[in-house]
Amino acid sequence: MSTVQILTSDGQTVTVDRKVVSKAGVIDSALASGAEGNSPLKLDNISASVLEKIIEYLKHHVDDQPDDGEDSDDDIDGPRRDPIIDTWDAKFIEVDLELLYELILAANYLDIKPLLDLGCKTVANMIKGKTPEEIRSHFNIPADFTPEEEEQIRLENEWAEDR
Amino acid sequence: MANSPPPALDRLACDPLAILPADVLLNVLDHIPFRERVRCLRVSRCWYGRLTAVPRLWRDAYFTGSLRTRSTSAGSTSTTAATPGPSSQSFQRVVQWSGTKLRGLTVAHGDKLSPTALAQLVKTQRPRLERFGLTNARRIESDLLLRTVVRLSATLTHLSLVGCKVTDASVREILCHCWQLRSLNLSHSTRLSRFMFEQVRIRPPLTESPVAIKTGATGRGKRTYQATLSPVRASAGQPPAAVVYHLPLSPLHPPIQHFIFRDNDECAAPGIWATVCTYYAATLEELDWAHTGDVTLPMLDQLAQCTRLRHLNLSGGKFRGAATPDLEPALLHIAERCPQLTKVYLARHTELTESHLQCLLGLNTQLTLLDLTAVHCVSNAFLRTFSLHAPSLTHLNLSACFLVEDTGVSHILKRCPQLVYLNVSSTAVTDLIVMRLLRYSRHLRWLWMESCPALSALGIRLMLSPSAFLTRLDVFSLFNCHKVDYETARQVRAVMRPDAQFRFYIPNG
Repeated sequence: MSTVQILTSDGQTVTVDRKVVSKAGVIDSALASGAEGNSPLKLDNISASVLEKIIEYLKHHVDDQPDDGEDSDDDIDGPRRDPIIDTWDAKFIEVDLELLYELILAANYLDIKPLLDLGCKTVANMIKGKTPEEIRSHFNIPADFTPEEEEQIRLENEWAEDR
Repeated sequence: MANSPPPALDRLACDPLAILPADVLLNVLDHIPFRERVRCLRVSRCWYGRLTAVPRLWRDAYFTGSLRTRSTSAGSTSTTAATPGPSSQSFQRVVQWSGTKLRGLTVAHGDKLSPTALAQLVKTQRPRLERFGLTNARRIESDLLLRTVVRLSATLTHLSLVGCKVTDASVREILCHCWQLRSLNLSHSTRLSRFMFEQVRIRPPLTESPVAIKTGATGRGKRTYQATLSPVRASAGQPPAAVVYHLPLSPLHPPIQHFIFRDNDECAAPGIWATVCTYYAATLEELDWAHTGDVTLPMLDQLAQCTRLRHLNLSGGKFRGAATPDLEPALLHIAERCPQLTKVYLARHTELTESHLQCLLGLNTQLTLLDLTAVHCVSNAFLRTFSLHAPSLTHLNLSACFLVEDTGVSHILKRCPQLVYLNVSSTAVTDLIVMRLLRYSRHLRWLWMESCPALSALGIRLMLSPSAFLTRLDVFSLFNCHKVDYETARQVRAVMRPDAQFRFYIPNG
């Protein structure tokens, strides 16, 4: 019975279950602060395709308990985040870079912490274990250091190079 | 889904650092180890600029060697010996980027660290370090080391001096100055005696500012000491000659929770053990005594005072008096007095019997880690009983437990659903275990099955078809499994994630 209508940036109206969408902090507070009416909720910077993807994610995680607090395990090696991604999530986030960034930005805007973390982990995994050259080719970044400058940075931080 | 085709990606549209806002970026970079962050600087001007503009990324500096040896299918391990140490320049850069608020500094290959680099760091900064770690800093003499630590003492909570030139006197000074020290790692130190703890004297501040010592329960029930100390002026290379006065030992020792004392076989270890267990009985949570000599019955009695103990590492030693009937009650006493034990390492305790293990572990239902490497008494029956009361077990090492077969490991897999690490190297497991793994393990990420003579390619191939199992693994080793062929190994590697490690090698294969 309780559904919400959302108007996306490209002018489409999407109807969603309220329980699903209340996981998103921004929408939840927008709904809570009245303005129930019949007018659909306007999300200016989220397109219908991204919203669809987000709803897919929220639907799958609708019964998840919210993560309360960080576990502050003071190890001598310092706090390291858990790099592991759940199997379903891994499949879900297998998208092209552009959509991945849009998902991250939308999750950030809508305040969906688990999805934001998932996206950030995915980007981090793309960077991890790569040489600077590999990172450049993966993200299509032009090398704009002069060879001398690059050599200088490399020499300064020689300890960090993989060999 | 009548979407318009995606616009052609322009160059910038692919660069995460050009697109993502700062707070999101921070979230991404939090997942990247320090060493790789430094390497990322070389990517482009934009990366260099944006990364160095975020002080938080540089506050915990880990100048460590390569943690990941580049894995090859031949299983050869690369050497990290050739890695150069951080130059004083890179030190300075990091300090600069951190907004001069460096919080942690760890130098893992300290043998390359020059005294000048360290001296410079200490001199130019007013560090607020909470963590300081040096490994193998053989070129740093003990007085410079001490001066460094003393200068950092006001804020230091974690100190690790592994294989450094540490003497009794310097440990004493360190304990005098570091009010808040919670973790002390003195592994590979050799020259220490129990006297290093005695006569720990509290140095009053040089200025008139009062020293406020607060004791009592705070936050998570830890005892904390707060002190307002003016920074110590290292005048002309000498620690200041301050008025020292002598106080009774216990309440003014820093609240040490983690005492790590590995590989100190040549020390007067029993004396140090007794002192640690007495002085830090109220706070000690972790005692790492791996490869630091045998454990006697009186030592076990002393350990039973540490009722908050959570991690106990006794690998590589022996329990003296294992043949006498006295060991069982001593172990039982530990189990009763230390109900919070969650991680227990007993590697290479070949002298233990099943009833010893029952005494130590039988009462405990919250164990998360158990290392039983080469504890030959471990049998299928033991694993069955153990699995009944270890529902939260996440790490289990059974390597070189020759009696262990499929049935024993199956019990563990069935009843310990949280398992993420499993080592069954050199056990008698067969292809059947693969089916059990596929069926029961949901979270496994590290799997070691080295030198399992009964494991064949047929069994390993079972892992290939529902690939979810293999893609979840971070590390998988089939080293020295004679019946597994290269073709199967290649297929396994192909299914695993590219950033995961796979070890495989057959001698004369």
